[in-house]
Amino acid sequence: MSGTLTTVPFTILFLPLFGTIVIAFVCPRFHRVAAAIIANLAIFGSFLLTVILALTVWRLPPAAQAFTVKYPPAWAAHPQFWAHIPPLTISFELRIDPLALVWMLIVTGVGFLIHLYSIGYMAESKNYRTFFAYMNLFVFTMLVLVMAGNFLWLLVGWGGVGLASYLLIGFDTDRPAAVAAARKALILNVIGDVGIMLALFLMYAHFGSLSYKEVFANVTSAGPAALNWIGIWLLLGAVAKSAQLPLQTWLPDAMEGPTPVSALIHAATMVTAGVYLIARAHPIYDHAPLAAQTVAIVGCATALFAATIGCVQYDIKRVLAYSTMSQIGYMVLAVGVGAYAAGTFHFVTHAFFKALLFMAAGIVIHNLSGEQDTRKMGGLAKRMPLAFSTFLAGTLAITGIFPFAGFFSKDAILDQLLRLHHPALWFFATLTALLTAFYMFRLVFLTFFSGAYRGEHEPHAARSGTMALPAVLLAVLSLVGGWLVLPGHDAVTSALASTFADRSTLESMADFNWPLSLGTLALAVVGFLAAYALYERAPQMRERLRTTLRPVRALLMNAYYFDTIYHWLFEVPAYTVASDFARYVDPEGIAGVTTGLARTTVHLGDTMRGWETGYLRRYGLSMLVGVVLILAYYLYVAHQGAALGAR
Amino acid sequence: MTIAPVAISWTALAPMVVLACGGLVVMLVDLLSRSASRAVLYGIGVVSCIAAFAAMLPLYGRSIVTLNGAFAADRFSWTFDALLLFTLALTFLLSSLRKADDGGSPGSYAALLIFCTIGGMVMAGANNLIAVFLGIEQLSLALYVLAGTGFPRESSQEAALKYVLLGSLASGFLIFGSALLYGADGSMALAALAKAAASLSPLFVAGFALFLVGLGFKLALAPFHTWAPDIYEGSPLAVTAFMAVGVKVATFAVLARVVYAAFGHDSPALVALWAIAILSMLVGNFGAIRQRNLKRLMAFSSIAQAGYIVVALNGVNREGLSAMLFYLAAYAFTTMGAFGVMALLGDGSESYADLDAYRGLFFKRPWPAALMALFFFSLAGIPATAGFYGKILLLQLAFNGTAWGVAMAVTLVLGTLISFYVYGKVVWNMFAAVEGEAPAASGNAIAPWIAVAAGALGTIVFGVLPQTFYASQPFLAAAAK
Repeated sequence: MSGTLTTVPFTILFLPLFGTIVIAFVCPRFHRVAAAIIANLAIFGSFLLTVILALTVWRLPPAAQAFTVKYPPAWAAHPQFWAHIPPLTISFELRIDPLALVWMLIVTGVGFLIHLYSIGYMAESKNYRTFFAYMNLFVFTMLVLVMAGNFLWLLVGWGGVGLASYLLIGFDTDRPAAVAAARKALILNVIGDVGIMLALFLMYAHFGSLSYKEVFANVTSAGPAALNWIGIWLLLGAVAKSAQLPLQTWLPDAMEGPTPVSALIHAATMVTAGVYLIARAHPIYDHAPLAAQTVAIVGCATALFAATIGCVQYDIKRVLAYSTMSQIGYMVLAVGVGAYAAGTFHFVTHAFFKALLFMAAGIVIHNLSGEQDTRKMGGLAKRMPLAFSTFLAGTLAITGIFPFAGFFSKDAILDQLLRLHHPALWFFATLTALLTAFYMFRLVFLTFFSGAYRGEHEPHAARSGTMALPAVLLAVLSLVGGWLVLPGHDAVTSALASTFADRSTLESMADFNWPLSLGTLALAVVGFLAAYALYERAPQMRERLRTTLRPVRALLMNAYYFDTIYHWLFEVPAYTVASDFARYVDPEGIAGVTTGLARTTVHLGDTMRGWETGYLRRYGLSMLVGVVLILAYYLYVAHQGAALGAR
Repeated sequence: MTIAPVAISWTALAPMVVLACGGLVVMLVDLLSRSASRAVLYGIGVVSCIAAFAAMLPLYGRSIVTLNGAFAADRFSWTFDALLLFTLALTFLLSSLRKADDGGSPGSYAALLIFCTIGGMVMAGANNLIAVFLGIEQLSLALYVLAGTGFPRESSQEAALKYVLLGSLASGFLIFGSALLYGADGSMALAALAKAAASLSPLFVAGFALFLVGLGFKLALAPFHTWAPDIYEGSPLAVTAFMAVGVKVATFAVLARVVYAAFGHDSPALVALWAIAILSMLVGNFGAIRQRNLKRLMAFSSIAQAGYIVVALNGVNREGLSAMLFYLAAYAFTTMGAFGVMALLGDGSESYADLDAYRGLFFKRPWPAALMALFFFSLAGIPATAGFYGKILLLQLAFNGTAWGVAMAVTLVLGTLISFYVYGKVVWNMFAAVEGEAPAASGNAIAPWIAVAAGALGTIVFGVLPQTFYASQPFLAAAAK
């Protein structure tokens, strides 16, 4: 293997960490601009190297496209593992293959654009440097997640992105809502971490290894029941990280974080980690039909569930959060039914258009001094042409209007559902497409049209090149990103082929199902027209609908009361038990035991210190006691030895 | 009667000879130029360490037994010697540059440190009982004086006196034990111990018991540890650091050599050792709980750590030696680093031995506080530090199926739990908010910074890439002996 292929992956991985360290430990002495420049350069360097690596790898023959890089390198003549605790050997290894490369390209590429955007967006923040240190840390941990060569390092990355997400959601530490949201995200994500740990324990029990290579090579040696359990526990991790049912409640609250964070972590990259995990673990799911079915059903249910909620929400970022949830539902659905290429393709286009939507929304929010409620917007199309045009491009892409990216990637998923004989799932997914068009255009009308501006403060039009440029670039990508798959030409499937070489078939997306695509397009137009009618033409009809559908609306406004249910199901009992313990049990019982233990410990400590009187005779006596005891024991041993000899 | 000339391999002795020359140069410079500053003398000390290490390089991977079998320069002693030289160099970097702290004789201080280390190197290579005793005595005699070099302080004089009195008691046990061991097999060579050990003759077990007492004193293993807190507290800071690390490294070399020479496998004769280890872990950790003086706290900590290291001998197998070396290296980095921070903040003086001085330190001096936290985390055994992997290795060795092994493993975990409180208290202290003014910490000299950086680097690198070192030649080869 050439030197490039072994050293470049480590450089890609560690550049962002290097950025974090420099910003956190060296930069405080520098100007704040230096922090932004270092952060951006680190990610840009990673991105460039990833491009070089990707070009190199995709030029290789398919068999050589997937490889493992280990530290220490082979020439160092050290054993190539990090820890050896028999029988488990854990290496510090990176797995480079097309699947990882797609994620790396998006994480560093879109990540760089969002870093660039943050320069302008965060300009007024007083913790500017901290923000960039955290952002670089996030990119590093996300790269650990997607580049890991075994499940243990995957878990390290998995926990790492959770930490970075926690730090960034609660970035405004003086707002209690942000801190509460950060805590909620962390707790729900840790539930997922535990799921992955359980899967790891099972893998260790069944395969004696955590390395992708060995686990996947021996996957058939475990029975379907074991594989199903592994699949289910991995799914628990995926569900928590990707905000799927039933652990989805943290994502809307996570919108308390700064908008670039929402764009990077809670739209483009981290929340898709669940999709990556299932695609990565596809040899397990291919042999675990039950787990795979569960994945597909969870994805489909979440897609529909989130889309319905999106139809009634007013907070611009929350609507986008529910739409993210819904779109990730599509991806999970795709990988659940085995349409891995389609799921990956939708991840790529979604990263473009969802990051774009958040950026455009961020420009609006920025210009309105932090206002996020669409009821206080309206008529902004003329006042903020850039925000409007980019937001519109994102909306056209997500709703799947030809020739924008979503048209190709979403239709690929719907098409694959039919080809793989899942008509029920296809039906709900298509229904979701209709709802998507409705709520996205509703958002466009509420924000940019529907009469005059309704806010109290006059919007100020702060122009920032570093905010406009990434938005425009992503708008272009949202248009052309879908052209990777054209009729008769499927770049995504052929690029991914070597990752999924163990599968007998990887359905190609090149063969277009035109009636289906045109039908879905027609549904999107219907959704548009409905939004146009209700929010632009006939507001009185909207009022009528509201009164007739009041219970449904209340249900959707409260996101199916999941937060309330969880509150009564988990929080209230926990708090009740805790406070009862504090009131009745603790003062006498537990406190007695624990403080008693602590007191005994401390008392022992005091006793021990009591021996240290400083008097030599005491010290000498202690030694002598030891000598006598040891000699007595040894004489006993000698006696035994003599007895042994006598026999 | 003619005495046949003893064949001497100067290659094998070269590191010690070079180091001794360094000691002589220090004395000469001090004698000829009364104005030579401490920085120059200690600098010569560091250079001697480097020169001695250079003299060790040709010996790497070789095995030479010389002086009629009294001394062996093999792969085992090589790694121990390297650790000793590293410790000595760092001790020089930590040494105070102020007259008030060493009573005004830096030349003899530096020379004694060097000769003390030579004693340690003799111990690491000792291949018969005479050499063991010579090494230990050279090390100890120099240390008795060094403990008192802070004599402007009364506690330093007290420490020296106590150390001499208790030390000679321990030496008595050691030499009496050696005599009995000689009586048991009629030979001074360590290799001859195996035969006597197999039969567990009364002479052998009595000798071995007294020998253990002597070594236990040097290692500050309970119940022979009582001297440690007073003497650690009274001695000058750098000498305390050397006692905590250098003496333990050298003495564990002797203990390992004797145990491995006498016993090919687990033996009932070793049970006393396991009991001592368990007692030490408990005494060390419990004793540290209420300490407000950091040097005393480190004394108890070193008692517990010595107890942990004994676990490496469980089962008397090859992995145990590698693990012992790994843990000793981790311990050396961490402990020297922690003492380095104390020396750095107090400019080598004792002013930073008090725990109260660390309150809110992080807000005044973030770097020393963060590094101190790193060292204490490593001593406690938090992942990603050297101490964590060391404990993993020891726990693996403890579970070899014997009841005593399990007892040691359980005590190790219990002791670690208690130590979280002990070390956590110090860390918490540094990061706790202070009302009013945080204590000023002006010390910022370059030499202790180097020592702290070296300690931190070792702690992190050994923690993040443990297997790279644990499975590397110096560690494996020593075990292959």
